[in-house]
Amino acid sequence: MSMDLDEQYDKIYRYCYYKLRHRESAEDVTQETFLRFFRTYEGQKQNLPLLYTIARNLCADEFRRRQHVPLCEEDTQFVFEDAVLQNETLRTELNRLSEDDRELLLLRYANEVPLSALCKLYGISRFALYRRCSKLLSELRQRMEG
Amino acid sequence: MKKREVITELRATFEAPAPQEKTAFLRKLETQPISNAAFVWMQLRYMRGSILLISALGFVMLLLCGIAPKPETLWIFSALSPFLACSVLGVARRSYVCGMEELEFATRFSLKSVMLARMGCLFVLNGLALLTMILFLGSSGFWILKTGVYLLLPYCSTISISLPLTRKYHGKFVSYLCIFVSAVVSACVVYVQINAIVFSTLVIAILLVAELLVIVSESAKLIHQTEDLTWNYN
Repeated sequence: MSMDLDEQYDKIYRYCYYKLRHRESAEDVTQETFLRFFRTYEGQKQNLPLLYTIARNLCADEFRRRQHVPLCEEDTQFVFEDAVLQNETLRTELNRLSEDDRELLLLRYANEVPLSALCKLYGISRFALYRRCSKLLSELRQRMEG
Repeated sequence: MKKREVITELRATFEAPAPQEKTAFLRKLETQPISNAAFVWMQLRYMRGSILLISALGFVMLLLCGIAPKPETLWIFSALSPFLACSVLGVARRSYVCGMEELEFATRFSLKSVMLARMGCLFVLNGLALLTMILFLGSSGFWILKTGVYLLLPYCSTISISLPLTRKYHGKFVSYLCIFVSAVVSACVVYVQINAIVFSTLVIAILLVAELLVIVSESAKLIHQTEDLTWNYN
């Protein structure tokens, strides 16, 4: 696998944490993602899209599972919203965006996933993805300035 | 507000709390068992393309010429076999030449395993090439034992001379030294052929046995040396 495991662990964890908003669950899902990847897909060329697809599916499973489980204290505290989103203006603006758009911003700018990998992940062209990212970023800029 | 500033803000905004079990998990993940075949295949993919190409070319050439052998074929390949040996030595010393040995010590496998796997792959490839040649020539009227000795002697000479040198010296200088040794052995073969010098069977047998002994002894020392250097392998 031609990737830095240490770095990718942090990024997948960040993605899972953002999806689940629960530290322990995010860490469990991150580890399960890597185990599944190495068990089934190691050696394949499209490493990153595969990793994120596994992580996304596992997060969905975990989210579905947790709907039937009573929420623990940490779940109700919205740790992600309070502790992570430090910039108030940006937090407000991000909350106005759709879930998909927020996920795209996280992947593209926080996790620095290359455009080619994101194209595979979302199943859209490079041009369309570039336009979508640029549009989102300029909208955020305008709102923050205004 | 600049675009770069927004991106920086976004990065800070999406920061997650530090994972707690990362180190333990990654350590466990990296020590999962791997089969020998998978390990050899992994090492084969890391080998330098030029070295694999030289060995593959040698194999194909031996195969093609072995199909329709001529009297001079044996001498030509006898003179070329030192360069096949040189490719094996190139793999053995690559880490030292490129200054990568410390990195290899720190990785999942010991330098000894990595080096032996890579050298083993090339030895098998070269061995197959030489064996095919010996069998082809043997079936075409050449005396099998004579063919075997003529092909193996220069090959073993190159390795037995170069191994002590590669163990003693380090750096790029060793690569040039190995190529020089291969060229000298090859030139000796050509000289013997041109001047029609005939050695007695006993001399050749003694020489071959001595070379094999040197190779075994030097290989053992080389393995021992790499074991000494694996400072963080457990």
